[in-house]
Amino acid sequence: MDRDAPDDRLTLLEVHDRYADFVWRSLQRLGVRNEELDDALQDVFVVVHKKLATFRGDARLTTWLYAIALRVAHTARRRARRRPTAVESEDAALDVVDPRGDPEADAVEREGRRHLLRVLSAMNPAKRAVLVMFEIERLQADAIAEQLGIPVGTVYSRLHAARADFERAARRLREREEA
Amino acid sequence: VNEPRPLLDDDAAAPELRRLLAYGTAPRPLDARARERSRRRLAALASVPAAAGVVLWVQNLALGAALGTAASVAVVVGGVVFKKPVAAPPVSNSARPVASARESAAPERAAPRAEVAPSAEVVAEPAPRNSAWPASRPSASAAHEEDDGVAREAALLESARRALGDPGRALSLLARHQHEFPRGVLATERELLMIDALVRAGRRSEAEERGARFRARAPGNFYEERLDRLLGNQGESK
Repeated sequence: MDRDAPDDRLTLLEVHDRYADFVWRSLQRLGVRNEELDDALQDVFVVVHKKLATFRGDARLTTWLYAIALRVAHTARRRARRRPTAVESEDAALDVVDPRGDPEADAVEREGRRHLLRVLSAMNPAKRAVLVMFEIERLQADAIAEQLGIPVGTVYSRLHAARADFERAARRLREREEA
Repeated sequence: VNEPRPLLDDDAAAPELRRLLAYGTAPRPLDARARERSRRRLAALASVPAAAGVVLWVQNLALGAALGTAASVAVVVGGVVFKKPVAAPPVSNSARPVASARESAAPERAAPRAEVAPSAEVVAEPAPRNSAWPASRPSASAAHEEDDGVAREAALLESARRALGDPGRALSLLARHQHEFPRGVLATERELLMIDALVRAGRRSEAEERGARFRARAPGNFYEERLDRLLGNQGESK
């Protein structure tokens, strides 16, 4: 791979080599579940294969890829909703609970994550992604802006809206559980 | 503008939200195996000219919808035809354009997925030049109609591709496609086939004019290599 090639001159496989990890992480931030990730990643690059000729570098490639990932994630989430399997059991985040030899603590940890995922899954994916990047990954606003190809001010406003969404979703879930 | 603080660092933030966020974990990185698996599938996909690949995928979609029960997926990868019976999707918009390349490139996947992804909808959506994706989404019925349209487009283009040995007939079919689907999602594939057919028909200057317009719309990119082959070597198309 030509490591110095500009983004608008890359071949399909070079785009993959350079950006597959970014797409993979973005899909998770957007709420794509563990069992869907492989296919969603592939779906993104099928679209890239089809559309790469239309990319001329006016926008950052990550911005373009993120927009495709957003659409693919939307489709994957919609497909997953039609499935009878439990939403939370498929999520990547639940796979990474490190057993600590304390089944009770592990159960609490899992339940906490499950609860968080239920709240996140009720959010708009684009807002969810910004919330995850800022609040959980602890990325700086300028780093988020660079990855998503949006102004820092937009990151702030999207974060503000995401927090409001998050709070609403948490409240609704609590009310439902209490009812 | 002051950088906001993460809620977990903000003692004034709602305790319930902070408790929830404390359970958050960062996305997993793409591990080496998943990367390699993805790359292998993509290499198979990249080895199929974009036009032929997409037409074949979408043709599978049309075929699956028409047969209702099963379709035989075939795709030419590196000159070899792989065939694998797959269950046809229950509805046309759940067909998976990449299924053929994926099946051929990933034999370790023993069985087709119970429900295949509706990627045709994603692939089918036209993207404006130099931009990402349209903000609006089609409704379910609109998406279904769009899938039907893509399937008809693909079938017509596949007929034209098969007719390339008779360039006049291929051009006629491509003209029909242009008439029926002036803004079709497979317009790029149509254009490449059109250039191919013009070269074969000996109408080289027209082919070069179209090629120049095509290049001007997407200079230095993925299809250029194929375009070079088409315009540089009359006998080569697939």
